[in-house]
Amino acid sequence: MAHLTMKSKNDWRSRLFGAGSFKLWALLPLLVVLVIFTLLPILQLVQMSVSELEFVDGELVSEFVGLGQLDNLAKDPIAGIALKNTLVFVVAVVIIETVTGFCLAVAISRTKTLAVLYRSVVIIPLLIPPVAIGTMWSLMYDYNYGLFTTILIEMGVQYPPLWTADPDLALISVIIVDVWHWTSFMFLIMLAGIESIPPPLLEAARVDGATELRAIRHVILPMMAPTILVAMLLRTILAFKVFDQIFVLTSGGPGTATQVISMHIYKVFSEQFRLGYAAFLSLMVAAFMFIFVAFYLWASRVVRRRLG
Amino acid sequence: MNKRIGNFSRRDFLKAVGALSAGLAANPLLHSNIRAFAQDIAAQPPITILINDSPWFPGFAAMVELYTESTGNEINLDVTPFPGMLDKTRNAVQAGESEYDAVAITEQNIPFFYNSGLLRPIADIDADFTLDDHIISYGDAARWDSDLGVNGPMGTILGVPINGNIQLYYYRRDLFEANGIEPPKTFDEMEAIAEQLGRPPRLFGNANRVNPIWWEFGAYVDSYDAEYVRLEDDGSWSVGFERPQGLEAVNRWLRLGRDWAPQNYADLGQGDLLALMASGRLAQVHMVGAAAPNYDNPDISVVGGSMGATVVPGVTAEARSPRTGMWVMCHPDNLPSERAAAGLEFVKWLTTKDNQLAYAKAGAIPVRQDTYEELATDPVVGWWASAFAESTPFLHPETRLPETPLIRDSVSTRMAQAYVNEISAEDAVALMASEIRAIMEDAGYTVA
Amino acid sequence: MKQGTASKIALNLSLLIVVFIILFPVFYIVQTSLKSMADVYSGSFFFTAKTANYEEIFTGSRSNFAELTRNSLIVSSSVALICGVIGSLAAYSLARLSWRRWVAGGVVVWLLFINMMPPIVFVTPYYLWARAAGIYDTPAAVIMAHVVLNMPLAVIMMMNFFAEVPRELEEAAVIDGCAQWQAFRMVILPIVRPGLAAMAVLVFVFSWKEFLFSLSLTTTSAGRTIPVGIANFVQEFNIRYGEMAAGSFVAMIPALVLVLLAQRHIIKGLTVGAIKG
Repeated sequence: MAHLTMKSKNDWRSRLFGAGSFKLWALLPLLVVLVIFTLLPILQLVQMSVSELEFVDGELVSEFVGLGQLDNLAKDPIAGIALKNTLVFVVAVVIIETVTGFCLAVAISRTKTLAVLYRSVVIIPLLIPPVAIGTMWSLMYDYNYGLFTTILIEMGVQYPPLWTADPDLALISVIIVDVWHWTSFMFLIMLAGIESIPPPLLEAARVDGATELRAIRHVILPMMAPTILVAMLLRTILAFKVFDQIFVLTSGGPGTATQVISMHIYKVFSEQFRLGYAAFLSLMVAAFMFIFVAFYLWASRVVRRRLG
Repeated sequence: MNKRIGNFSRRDFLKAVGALSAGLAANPLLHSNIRAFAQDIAAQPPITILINDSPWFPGFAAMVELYTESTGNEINLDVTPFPGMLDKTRNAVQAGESEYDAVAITEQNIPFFYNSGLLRPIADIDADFTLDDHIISYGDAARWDSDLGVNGPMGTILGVPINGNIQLYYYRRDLFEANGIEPPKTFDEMEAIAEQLGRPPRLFGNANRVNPIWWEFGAYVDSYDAEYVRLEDDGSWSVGFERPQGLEAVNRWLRLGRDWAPQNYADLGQGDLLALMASGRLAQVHMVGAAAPNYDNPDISVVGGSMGATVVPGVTAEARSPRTGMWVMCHPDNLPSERAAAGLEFVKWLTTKDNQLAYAKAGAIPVRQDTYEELATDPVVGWWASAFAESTPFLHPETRLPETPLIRDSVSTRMAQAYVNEISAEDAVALMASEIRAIMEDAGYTVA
Repeated sequence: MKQGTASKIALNLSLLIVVFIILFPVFYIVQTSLKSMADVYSGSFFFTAKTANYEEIFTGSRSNFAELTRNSLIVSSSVALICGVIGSLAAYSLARLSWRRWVAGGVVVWLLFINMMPPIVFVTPYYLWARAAGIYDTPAAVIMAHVVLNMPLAVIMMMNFFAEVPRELEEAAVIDGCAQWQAFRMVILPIVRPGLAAMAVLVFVFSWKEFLFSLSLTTTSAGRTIPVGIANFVQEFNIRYGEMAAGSFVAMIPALVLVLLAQRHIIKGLTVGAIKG
């Protein structure tokens, strides 16, 4: 008995201060941050999602309704449309930005003289607040005094596109702005991925007489696959949360062409103050995002298996 | 004369304050009044006010400066972008002690805050407080009738109007005079004018705000006697879109919004309407009254001096129903009494007639009928101040219920869909009718 | 040799086109920042450039961009530093130091979940904490919120880069007699420096752009950051384009300089003492 206690005590000591203790100490700051700053709000959120909340005489009163928020979802005129638009938006921007980000990263990693110029220019769109990006693009898109229309008319185009005022073109217009804004995000992660490939590997591939394309296919792409998937995962979650930019560009219109779910959740949470329903919608959207997460996990497993 | 309202610098600000003080000094009556009033105000602790940044903010800021100058009491302002106001106010009133002694609340958020019990009734701060008769009622915006769950004349006073924004009808006086056109009183006349003056793409006959379709559209449904919801004499509620006039209102809105407008009519916000009008490309427009000073600002507008304004037209001249979009100043309940009192002291000072005159001249929108009447002949602000004065008897504020944000969601969604033919006008009306009825019934109202 | 030169020219030409596409809206922002509202509304190419908008954002009664820029620099750099340290330590531990699967998986799912929530969910709790802790309306409050919000990005990105490091290097270092901490600091970290730099830049950028918490946790320009100042130009019924453009442009420059310097520093600084892969 005494022996056992001694052992577990030693065990505890060695875990905290022994050779392997770095593992714990390295993780601890993150755990402290997570427990202090996120545990309570997340538990509150889950509790809210099964309740109806209301201020009565200055007190926030909560009533348990179980899955009652499903009724609200059934009656919601926008949630379905917004979710559909969000999915289209997310898939489109993630694919386009992954491809362009990857191409840019490969191309810029090959440059020498102008590399500093390219790298600094590419970061610029990320440094402008989304509100300003939305505003400036809406000004460029504007049919009456915008830049694009003015240029196209000067060039002799009779019916320039209406961009954000055309229900069929509005979501595409929004996607264009997003690609301009966020491709740099993918670029930065992927460039880091390319730079992490040991140079001898790349040189070997090139010396072997492989063309650049083959080097990309056989060395860069396989080595980069995990990084690409992580970048796509992070970008997907970010794209699901797209808000300010669309809010300023179109406010969800024309009609319901650019309604997205995060704008709707904000409205339900803030303007309508339906905390329960907003929490429920947030969790539902998170569930959708986890479908994407599962897909990326599956894809990364397949990639790893292929690579042996 | 530098009157850059939407573009207000420190220099302009000092100028405005300077001009105000000069004006006050030049007017012995006004001056003595303020002095007299200032003597009434005891030294107060410094207060913090939550206010939104807006084109009328410089006027508000100038008055704050004047208040400090004439009473010695200090005021700090938290100047917040409009979309952040709701959340910031809500946080403050929920905290242990509010960091604000007074909060500006826009009309559409009145039901939430009045109904929440998070504000201090004005009578609890100052038992002798009465609302001056000259302050426009805006549908009893100051009072909350907790028995009915809506603003009512018998309700408790929870806030004092501090910005009297309403909708106006603007027109190009120069074009109207050149063509011998009288400002319209009805939608039919508006359509005729749009037809007569519209020369697209250089001059458009009319344009409506689309982001979102709710507030201006409200003036149409109210004029057609098809209010989104209305409390009937028997105590039950009715849904306007269930009456045949509902569809007429929708069709009228769609026609005036689309037929004479620029091609991008499906994506016009208030800023676009202002831009079209200010750049001389729109003959008439129904939009927010607080935008008026912008048209005299040479940095913004090329039509300064050629603008006219009047009451928003209706189905008939009698049924004109412009909506209001005003602000009230309230005091959170989670405040020590002396801070609430200091906040209220400023509000009382701000809403006196003389100070409201100064307020208007500094670029803000007053809340008093006597102020508007006096300003109606002013060479600078007279053209719009007279339209405000004229509109008062026609004002038709929305019915402010805690459920209004839900109704708004239904209306703005379905109307946006109808606007670009995602659904037909008939379907939009049927959907709005059933959705609004469901919202009201779910909330426990008796719906006729 | 000739072919090499030709392909280099083609590469640079196409990249210059990309540069043009990226900079085009930026030029437009600069142009707009020199226009009055009436010039914007006229939509014409020709106008008289004015500096009024720049005067306004620095001397105006509403916006003090010098203060906001200072706060933004403090907040974003601190957030990048804190997230960089905590995030890479935790990521290394999770990715390489043989935690049980449920521990590592659990932490990752938790991080993803935080990242998936609409940020508005955290506003009220953080507001109340900031008030209670007495850091309300200071950069510290904004830093607190931004650190939490950016932690998922920092940890998950770094986990990926640590996972790519060949195991043999680590083992060699440990056999050489290094403690785990030293192996991490002297061997592993230098290898992942491109990833670390990218992560720090992205965290900096996200903090730089963030609006909601910067607004909710402050009242005055003592704690507020640039996006709030910029959002003040979007008003109820008009947008003050010129000032917004001027603000966006001015705010971009220090951030860009800082990001480029930091990138160089992280990459160079960590190279010292690195064992070449």
